[in-house]
Amino acid sequence: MDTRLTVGERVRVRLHLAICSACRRFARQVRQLRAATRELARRAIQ
Amino acid sequence: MSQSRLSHPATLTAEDLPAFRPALLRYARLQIRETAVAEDLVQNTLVAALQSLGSFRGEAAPATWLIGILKRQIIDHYRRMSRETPLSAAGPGDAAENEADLLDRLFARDGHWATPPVAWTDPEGSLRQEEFLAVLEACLKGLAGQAGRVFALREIMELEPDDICKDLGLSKSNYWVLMHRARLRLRQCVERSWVVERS
Repeated sequence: MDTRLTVGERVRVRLHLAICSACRRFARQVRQLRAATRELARRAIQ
Repeated sequence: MSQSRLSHPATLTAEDLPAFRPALLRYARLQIRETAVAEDLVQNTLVAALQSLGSFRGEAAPATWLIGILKRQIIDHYRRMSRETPLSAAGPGDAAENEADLLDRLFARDGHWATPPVAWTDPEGSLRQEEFLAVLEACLKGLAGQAGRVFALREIMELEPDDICKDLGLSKSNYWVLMHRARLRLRQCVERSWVVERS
């Protein structure tokens, strides 16, 4: 979300997420927090 | 404030400026906990805008232009705060024990999840979405210290990590630790009000 990963790193992350459902959930929640935070910022200036 | 004023770049006069104060204040309050500080920053923004009205060319909407000035004010404020509270020192509400507590509850010694995250109810539907945003807004106010600043710079002001590191004088790894800490805290806070109420 914040940085470009190398191909190797990306593969390792994918593999880990494939076996870790808690991590998948965490990643989804982090994305959800980002989207909602940006929505709050967008609304504030309207 | 009318939509048209925001979406139609045109001329901007000194008399127009006060109408933008509420929006600027809402934006500042998302990332500045102390009301008085937020008000000061908005005031400085309006003064700076007044002094540089001549440079407003209408390429951007007035609100966008003003938010740009406000962002600069907030970044400078963060930079001052960041110098006052070095990474090692815990800021208010930033107690080191809470931190250790949080990590202990979430992760076991071997690095596995001790308390795996539970699925959040999807904030589908506009009413649920509103509730979710209200919970999040309250939780954002609780994000203190350097972690809160890093989160705001990245997620509210949408700065690039490299620029955030420069602004706050952080190493790349400091940045990651702070960002992760902010996300864990925020996530936990949201979960407390969001899932628990609904499960």
